[in-house]
Amino acid sequence: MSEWLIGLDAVLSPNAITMIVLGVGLGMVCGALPGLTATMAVALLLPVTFTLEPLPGMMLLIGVYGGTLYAGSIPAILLRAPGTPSAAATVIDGYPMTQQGRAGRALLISLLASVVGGLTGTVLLALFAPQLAGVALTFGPPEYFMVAVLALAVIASISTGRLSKGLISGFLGVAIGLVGMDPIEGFPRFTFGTTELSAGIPFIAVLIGLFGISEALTQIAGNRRSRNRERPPVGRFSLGRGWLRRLGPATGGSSLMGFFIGLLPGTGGDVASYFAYNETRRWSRRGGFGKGEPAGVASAESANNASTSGAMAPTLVLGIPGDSVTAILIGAITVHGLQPGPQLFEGSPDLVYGTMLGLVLMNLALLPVGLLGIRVWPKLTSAPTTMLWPTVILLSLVGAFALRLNLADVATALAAGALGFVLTRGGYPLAPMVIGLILGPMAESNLRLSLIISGGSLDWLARPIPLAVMGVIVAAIVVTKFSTRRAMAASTAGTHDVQS
Amino acid sequence: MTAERRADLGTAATTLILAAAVAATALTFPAGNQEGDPGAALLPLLVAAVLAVLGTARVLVPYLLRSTPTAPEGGGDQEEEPGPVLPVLGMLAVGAVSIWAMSWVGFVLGAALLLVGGALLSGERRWWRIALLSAVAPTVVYTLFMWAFELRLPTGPLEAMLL
Repeated sequence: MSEWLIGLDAVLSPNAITMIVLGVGLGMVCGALPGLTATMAVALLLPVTFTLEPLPGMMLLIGVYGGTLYAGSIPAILLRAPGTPSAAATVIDGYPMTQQGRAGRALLISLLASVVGGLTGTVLLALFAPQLAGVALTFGPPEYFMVAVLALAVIASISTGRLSKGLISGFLGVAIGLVGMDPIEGFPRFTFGTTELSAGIPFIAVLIGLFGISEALTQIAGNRRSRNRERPPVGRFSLGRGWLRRLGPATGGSSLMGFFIGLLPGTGGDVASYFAYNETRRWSRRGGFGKGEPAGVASAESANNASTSGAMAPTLVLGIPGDSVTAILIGAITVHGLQPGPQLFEGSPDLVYGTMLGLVLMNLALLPVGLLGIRVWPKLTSAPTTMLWPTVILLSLVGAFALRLNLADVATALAAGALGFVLTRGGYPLAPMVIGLILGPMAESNLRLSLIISGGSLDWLARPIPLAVMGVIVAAIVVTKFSTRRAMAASTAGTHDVQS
Repeated sequence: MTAERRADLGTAATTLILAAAVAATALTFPAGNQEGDPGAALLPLLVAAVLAVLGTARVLVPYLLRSTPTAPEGGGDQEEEPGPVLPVLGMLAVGAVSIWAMSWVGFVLGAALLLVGGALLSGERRWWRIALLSAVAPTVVYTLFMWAFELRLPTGPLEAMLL
């Protein structure tokens, strides 16, 4: 209990609260602009946190994360152009509501469902994370190695339809992580005799390049300028009659599904929202899904925001990113000399418990900030992008420079941006690469330590926890395959519904 | 052949070259000094092997199956053919020149060069918008980072006047 009080004391500081509100506001602006994803927004603001204390820095990034995820639904509902990938499922019923002149209602449902989903996920995170951290404290190198393998296996399994591309991306990330000193004996690998590379390729510069610059390059290539589309009237910002009975079950159930899907490493709001949408449609007695059913919007949005808390669980407990945004959050923590994992629960309770309480505040802040701007955010969807993307590239380069005040890091970010552009164009997902970059060194050092401790034997694989993790690997792959297939089925069905 | 397939093939071929280079370099690494430690070459060799298998699969499988993929994989959410590469190459070149220039002329002028080039490559043709962007954005970013975040960006003659 005392840890929660320490966290509460830390998060109620004016500095932390200001950062939450600022983050939510900035996130909403970013999410409302089509093409500016949550990952890109968090990557762009990461350098700002270098000069802040760890908790206010985390609050800023978490605020941006939550704000962007909610606001991604605004262009999804109004333009059928999801602001973030995780808002894609919102299009299925949100856009038909706009066509029927009920955009105001869809926007309000999206906001409320996001808040409920986010709060539900945070409560579950607060219930589970400290217990899981207690278990994780008993982990040794064999257990950590198996958990890293688990995460890599799940990442591969979620890449349905492009398994080999997901794996190539993940192992390219591991390959990038090989540069520098080997973690056990300090032997320089792939440094080509340079001292700059002996510390490895700067992780944050790569992150900024992959998620900031590459997306901007993709948008410049696509030259996606805002089009002057005829928009139906937005309509009233009200929920309509019997809204609690109509939307409550879908929102509650989808929030739970979103949290548990978010727990799986490598999944994100997009898989969670499609999965929850499909299950809601399957179990619902209403037949209007795909034609403007409000429960569809509520389901997708609540699952989307609940998944953020799910993704935070492996990040805080094990130091394994739940998705690409939490990979950046790990960067924000390590830049302050802290290492995410179970030790952080005892060593920095203000940061860990403050972060969980900060998620509650962030979700509460979504409501007033979202309501205040609900008539303003839709106007951002028609902002000119010809000046936006060069500015994004400039901010990305400044961010890479801010890390060590070194122009070589800026060049690294630009190179990572070019790599990300080529990979995206070839249909390779980028999230596995970042997760591979984090997990590669973790897997290697723990595998080699396990072998050294056992004198080269593989007996440790038969210990209870590694055996259990192997079972979890199989179960996770099955569950992830199942949920991703369902999500993709919903995606295809939804696309057809909207088109028809 | 679609743009995605071309990029896919290019990536797969590069993966194969990378795998060969990683394996060749890793074979020169020393064995571990401690009992049971396979040494620094373990992970690089493993990564090289996996990348080689996957890269080969991506290059060969479509031909072995005698079906060149024409539609995007992974859910079909990329219906549109991606845009031309030339503006991106131009943007990368402008970015590289700007980074190089920043160490000589300072952040504001280097950033202005990046924004002018970027806006033109993005399709912006209204000169007043480009002028406004390239004048305001670098100055605001420089001032913000210098004063609010106490971060020293590359300094040149213009920054010396601002300071």
